[in-house]
Amino acid sequence: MWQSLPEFGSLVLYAVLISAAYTFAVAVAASRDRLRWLRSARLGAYATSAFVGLGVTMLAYAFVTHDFRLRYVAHYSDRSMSLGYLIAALWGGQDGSLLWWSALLAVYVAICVRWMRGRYRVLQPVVIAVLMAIEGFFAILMLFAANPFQVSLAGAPAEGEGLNPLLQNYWMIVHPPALYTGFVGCSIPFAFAVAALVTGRLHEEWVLAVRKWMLFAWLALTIGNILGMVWAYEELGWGGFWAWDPVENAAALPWFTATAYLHSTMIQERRGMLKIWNVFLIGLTFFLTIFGTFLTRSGLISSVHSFAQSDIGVFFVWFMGLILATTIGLVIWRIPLLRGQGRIETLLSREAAFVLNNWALVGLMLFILTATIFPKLSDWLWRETIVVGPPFFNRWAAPLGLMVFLLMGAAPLFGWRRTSGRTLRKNIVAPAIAMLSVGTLHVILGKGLGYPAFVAKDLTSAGVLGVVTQRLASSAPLITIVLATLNIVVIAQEVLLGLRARLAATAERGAPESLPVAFLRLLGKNRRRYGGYVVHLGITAMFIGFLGTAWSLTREVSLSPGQAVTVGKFTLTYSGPRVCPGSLACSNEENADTTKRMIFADLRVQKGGQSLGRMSPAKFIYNRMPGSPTTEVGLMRGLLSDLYVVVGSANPETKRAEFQIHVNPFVSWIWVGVLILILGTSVSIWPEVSWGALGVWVLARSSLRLEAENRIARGES
Amino acid sequence: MNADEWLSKARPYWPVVLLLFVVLSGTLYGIGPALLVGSGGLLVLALVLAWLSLGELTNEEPLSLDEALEMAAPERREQEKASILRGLKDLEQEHRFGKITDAEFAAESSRMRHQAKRLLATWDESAMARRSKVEARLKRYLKSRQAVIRTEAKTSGSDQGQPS
Repeated sequence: MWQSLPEFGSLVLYAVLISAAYTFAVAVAASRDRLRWLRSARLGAYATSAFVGLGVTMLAYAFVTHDFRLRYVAHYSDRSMSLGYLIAALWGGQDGSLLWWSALLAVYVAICVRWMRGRYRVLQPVVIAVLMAIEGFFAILMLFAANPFQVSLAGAPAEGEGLNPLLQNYWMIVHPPALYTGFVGCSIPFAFAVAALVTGRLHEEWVLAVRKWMLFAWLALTIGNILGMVWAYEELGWGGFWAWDPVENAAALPWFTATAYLHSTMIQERRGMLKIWNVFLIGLTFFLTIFGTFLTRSGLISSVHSFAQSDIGVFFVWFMGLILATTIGLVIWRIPLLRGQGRIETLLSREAAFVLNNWALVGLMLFILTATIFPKLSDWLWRETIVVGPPFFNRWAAPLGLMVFLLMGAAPLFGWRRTSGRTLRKNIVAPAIAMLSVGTLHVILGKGLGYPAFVAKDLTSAGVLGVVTQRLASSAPLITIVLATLNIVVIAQEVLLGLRARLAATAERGAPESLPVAFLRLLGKNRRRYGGYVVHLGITAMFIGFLGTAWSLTREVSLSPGQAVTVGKFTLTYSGPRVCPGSLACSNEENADTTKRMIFADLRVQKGGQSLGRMSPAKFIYNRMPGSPTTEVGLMRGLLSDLYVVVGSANPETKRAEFQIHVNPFVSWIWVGVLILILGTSVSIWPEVSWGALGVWVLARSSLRLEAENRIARGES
Repeated sequence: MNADEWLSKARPYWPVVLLLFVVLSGTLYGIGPALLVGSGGLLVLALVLAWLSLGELTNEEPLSLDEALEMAAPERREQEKASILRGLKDLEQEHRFGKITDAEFAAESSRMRHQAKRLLATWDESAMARRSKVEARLKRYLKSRQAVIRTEAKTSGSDQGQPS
């Protein structure tokens, strides 16, 4: 084993810091139009990225070779862990996750610097300087507070402690990298926004530059959050996917501001308005990504997701203060340049709908933020810790979420600047008829089908406000179904209008197109618009998935072998417990796993007299952590409903077991929705430059060079 | 091609070569050695890049054509033009989709076209002044290249004992 790996690892972190600081200084100097220095800064940025990459590969090497001299490796891995979990352990704890953040930023930096080649000459030095400042911050953090290469003071143990069993789940291999990709991705738009403010180039240039970066970061944030939901649903075993836990909330906060930005940026692009608001949203989104990491890692608020905590909070507080001060200071300095060129002329315009949507999204974010930190706030203000629970979140977040859903559906009905009453009436007829029909059918047929339009909710507070929120919560199923109809019909209408216009235009030109060709070309020519609509369809599917919780059924039962229970349309018959390894009934794979003791409680499942197979919810007791048994959920997925079973306890002697059985309608629609959303974002993000146009540019440049060389060869001047 | 030029041309392919070595060593010897090879490659890459970066700071030669093109940036007015043209395209689409009336379309379209024309006119004026500058620089560049080629041709001619 390599004797000096810990020292070398720390040395690499120093190299990252020195390289980042050097590149920062050169980039700042390059902003005075020194092109050689800009080239130097670009190379410095690449070098910094390579140093960070070196740090990550060294830590990965320490994990795969079980180098338990490193405190971090000894704490988060052991020899029994598979390669996948050994790599996942890189971000399983605090020190490694900071290095992981730094590594993702290094990848972003390398790609962004390469991408900026030949463009954004004025913005480029400042963009590089800001990115290097962020990279430098994480290097300082690791070197002085959370060094993943620090050795164990007591010497290297013979065996490591192993990764928390809750984290030994395949979703945990992909969830943190996806979420961090989103978090770190917000650094690039932030760097561009600061560059625009510093250089005074506040026209559409930076807005257009960051659009796809923001879209990509937003997509990664969405996927990261959804993967977290899948993990919580499958691993935590309480029957749901979102518990309003502080860490879950912190991960979602930048998503709201990023979504708001993706809409408000269109107003700046088209109308030159909302410049201050857009800079503010970018700054806030980046701030919230750092705040999310701070909340997860500082242990400020207790959370089921806080797998690693320490005293690095003070570093984050200073950094967040710096971000706020920089953004606010620059905005104040540039206010004369940030004044909008236009104004919203009427409420019946797309800009107005987008602004309202922005307010709702930012309002939702502020509500979640305040409620999340309320235990700490109440402690500071009244010396009393008041914890805000899921019922409070649900009561207030649902109406705000439905407001966003309404605006999402209604906004495409309006045109930019203003929509005449006649045009609006014409556009609203079909959605209104559809909403009315679906709403009426839901009220009439919903109850009989098991999906009632109204689900009675308890009064949670006294007064008029309490009654209003109670009524809203009770009617949430009907409202959601009606708004989902609005969204779907408006999108269908938009596509039909586009198709009709294209068919008419091509016929007029004397080159008529068939319907499929016209449809594909319409999508191809307006990727951003129709990609956005596909994203809206995905979000609609997700809303239907969230709505399913209103109709979920939960039952707790104690069963002896042979006894059956019926929940909703499912009948479950308990076969008895099974302890693995060691039982003949266990599979070869289960018998071969000696790292844990697995107690399964097998159930046969039937629906409408038809057998659906066997479910095996279980308790796993890991040899290394016998005091923390994990719950393994029995899950049968379906588009209409999931059957979700948790075993509370199973007595191998009496063979009696306690079960918690949930029937969760439409949960799968959340996962289907995110797939649709990925498709839509990919359509939107796809480069607009055609290969043909690119080829023309390459050809033109080559021809110019060839012509110049020929003239030189011919001796012409 | 001299060594410097060769190195410069090969630079974009370094990460690909490194990745190939990592995959090869991983396939032959396992994940541990592959990570070590990767680390070694990244260390060399980082040091070379840092060295090149420092070299640029002390380099006082004027930028070559390629380097200058690498640093080229579009004009702000070019972006404004793109923005107006995009706005016009959106407006036409909104009109085709029936979101705005004919009268609104006519008024807005005329306003934006007027704005685009004004922008193009000011752009042409300023471009004319720079055009002569660019032509003069290009002439100087072609003359200097011509002189270099003549010298090279003479040298190679005299080396081979042939008239140039």
